[in-house]
Amino acid sequence: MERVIEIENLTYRYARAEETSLKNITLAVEKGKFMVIMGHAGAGKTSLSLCLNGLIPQFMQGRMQGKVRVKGKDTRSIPVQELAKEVGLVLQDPESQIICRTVGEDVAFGPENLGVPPLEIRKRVDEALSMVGISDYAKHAPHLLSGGQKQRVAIAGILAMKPDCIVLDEATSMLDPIGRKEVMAVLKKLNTREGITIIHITHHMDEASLADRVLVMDHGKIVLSGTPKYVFSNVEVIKNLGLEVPQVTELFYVLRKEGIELPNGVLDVDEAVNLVKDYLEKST
Amino acid sequence: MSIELENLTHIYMKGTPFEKKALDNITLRISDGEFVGIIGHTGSGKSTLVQHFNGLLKPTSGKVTVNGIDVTRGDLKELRKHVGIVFQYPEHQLFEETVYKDIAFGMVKMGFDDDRIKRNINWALNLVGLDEDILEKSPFELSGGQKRRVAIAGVLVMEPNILILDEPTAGLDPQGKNEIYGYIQNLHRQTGNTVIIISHNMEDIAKIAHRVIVMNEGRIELDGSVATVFREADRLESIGLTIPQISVFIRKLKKIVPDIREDIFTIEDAKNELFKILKRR
Repeated sequence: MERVIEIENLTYRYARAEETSLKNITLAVEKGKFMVIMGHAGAGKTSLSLCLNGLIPQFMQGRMQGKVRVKGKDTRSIPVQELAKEVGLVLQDPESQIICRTVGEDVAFGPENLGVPPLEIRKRVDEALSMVGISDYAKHAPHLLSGGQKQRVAIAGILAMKPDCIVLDEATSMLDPIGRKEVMAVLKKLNTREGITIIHITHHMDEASLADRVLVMDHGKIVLSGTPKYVFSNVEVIKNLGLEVPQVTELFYVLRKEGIELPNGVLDVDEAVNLVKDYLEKST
Repeated sequence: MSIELENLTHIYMKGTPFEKKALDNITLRISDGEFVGIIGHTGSGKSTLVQHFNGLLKPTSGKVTVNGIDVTRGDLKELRKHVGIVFQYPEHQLFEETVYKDIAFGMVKMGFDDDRIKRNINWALNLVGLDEDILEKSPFELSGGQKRRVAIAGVLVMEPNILILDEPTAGLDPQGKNEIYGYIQNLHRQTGNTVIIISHNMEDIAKIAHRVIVMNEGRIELDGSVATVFREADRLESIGLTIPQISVFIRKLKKIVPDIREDIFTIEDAKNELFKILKRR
């Protein structure tokens, strides 16, 4: 499998910071994967995301050790504007990343700055808006959109730069349940249909359950990594880190503690219902 | 002492092409000491509703009376001593040089004496789990969770007997969220104040609120105890809300285990009920 991102022994400390933000991280992300990163505030999630498009080390003053390569290119030596074509970053606050008067103009902003020819920009904007399902709003003013729509505009703005990988830093945390569903549906579609690699930072367990792979970070380190089933079978570790697991996962965990022999790492409701059914059939 | 709404209607930008009816003929009573959760998706009227409770918005028609004060005609300064609102992302409103000055700002404006200001600040800091050494820091050097707590403390020190929080945990990590909810529950226990929380998160509302009001398109869709409201799963889903995962699980399980209790909305309750059922086999 082709690797979009390779990280080797990455350590990073911000200028004047007392603590190291990232500690000896080694990680490879394969093309086409949907990865979720979890961790409490200050765990290093955002710092890691800034390393993926070269903003660290190129725009931040601090000390970086180790190597980060995006499609084989070293993020120390390739300019940020080149890396932006490979890895797009969507931020938490929908208000803070939309700058133009209309949705269409905003989506065009990235490719314009990359020097893409006008006809090609037009094509890319139309495609990007249609992929995130907001073609009808191309001429609308962004501030009148809902939070979920604004985040989809931000994602479209990234798509117009044709990246292989999109990194979302808590991009759903300020949205209501409907907005979250809209954005997750778009991410799932981009991942499965367009083969775009997704790295999604979130606190929402239902979103993490949909990933191919989940990373849990704490104090600048990766403490758990694997399928959602594997990661969420470590209920105690996750709870000790101040994070949550899906409610059915926690229910099975507390029942196991009471001596009921149910399996570990259950994620969704239907699976849980079937397991209880099996348990009842076995014991009668 | 209570909040009383009679046929409250609120229309934004009335008489313009953008006219929008945000609240439609709402009649509601919230009594002293209640712990109420208000849920509903974006645009359902939740925030518009609570902004009537301290007179930030006036009814287009109908009547709002809070602790005996008519919001349209009464003394709003007096009213706002009773009602404290913590808005969404309240940390955006921090502005003073030090945390102390920021928390004290409202009290100074209201003419509280120095002793009372100090006493209230100590009490509120303690309640939201912050140390005294934070008082001389700039609010802008704090972490997100700390800023949020300072902003909440700035409302608590005003001694409101009705406390309204609009999405108080939005954007926080699970630990930060649980801490904030813990402080609010403590406050409610300590003071017996009326607490009204707006949230999208059904799991959290199920855990902390006693009464739940569901808003949809400017009207009250459901109003009752956690159990009565969450029992209406299909209706909640039809207006874009979801019941907690644990309740979905119990509902599906009922098809296999018909005698399971249906009014289960927290993991604790589910554990006790399932333990009984699985153990007896």
